[in-house]
Amino acid sequence: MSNKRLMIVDDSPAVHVIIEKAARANGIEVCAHAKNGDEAVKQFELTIPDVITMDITMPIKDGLAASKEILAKYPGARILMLSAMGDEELVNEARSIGISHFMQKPFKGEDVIKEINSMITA
Amino acid sequence: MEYINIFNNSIREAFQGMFDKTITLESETSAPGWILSKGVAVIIGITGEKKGRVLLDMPFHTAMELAARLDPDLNDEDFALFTAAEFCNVASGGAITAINNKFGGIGLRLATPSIFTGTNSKIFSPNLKAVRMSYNTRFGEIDFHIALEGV
Repeated sequence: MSNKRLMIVDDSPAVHVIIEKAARANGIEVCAHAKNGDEAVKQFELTIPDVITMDITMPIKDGLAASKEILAKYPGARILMLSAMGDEELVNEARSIGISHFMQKPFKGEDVIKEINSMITA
Repeated sequence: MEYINIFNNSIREAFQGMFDKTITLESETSAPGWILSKGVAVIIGITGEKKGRVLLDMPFHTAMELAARLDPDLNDEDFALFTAAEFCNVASGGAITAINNKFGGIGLRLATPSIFTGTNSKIFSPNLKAVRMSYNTRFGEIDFHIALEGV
């Protein structure tokens, strides 16, 4: 039984499918899904995952705002920001709220898993 | 229009990165203020110092085949639409990132994608001059209509 638990946050179901497939193949349990930042905050409270993959551009509440809320309450939360956007301003904004792991789309599922594993073992 | 080259590079990289296949730009023409959709259309607004939008248009079978590249076991029509939207999002995000880094301070951002389906649906976008970039792929023709003011 895996002891690594992942929450996937993205408004694109395609991203959920890609990451969940790679996670399952690598023994990582996907304990929660969220399609916007508001759901992400609520699901985090309910499931306390080991790692979150977090999109930035989402309806209702974006990934940066959701991450800020989660990190304010759970400073040890591990968040991997996954976004189609990756300009310096955005990366700096993510860093300023305490996010140090960032991947720009497109990505391969196995690359995300590699990053997740390194975050968990760090 | 330097931004067109930036979009072309990003579209090629997104296609290669997501679907492990190459995509070739066949033509680049001035686009009218409307399109007759091939079947699946995705529109993403660009906000920030400059306004614009990206419109992706492809046949439904192309979206289905691209979705099968991501997950061959999941033969689902909605998943095909979301795959097209994600491709448009990744291609646009890469281009906007490069434009932001090149022309610092313009802070361009993308809106969430809107997806439309229906062959020959007429989609109007009359207020911005657009460039139509037509790509030929082994899965079918894919068009991007890109409009971005003043860059």
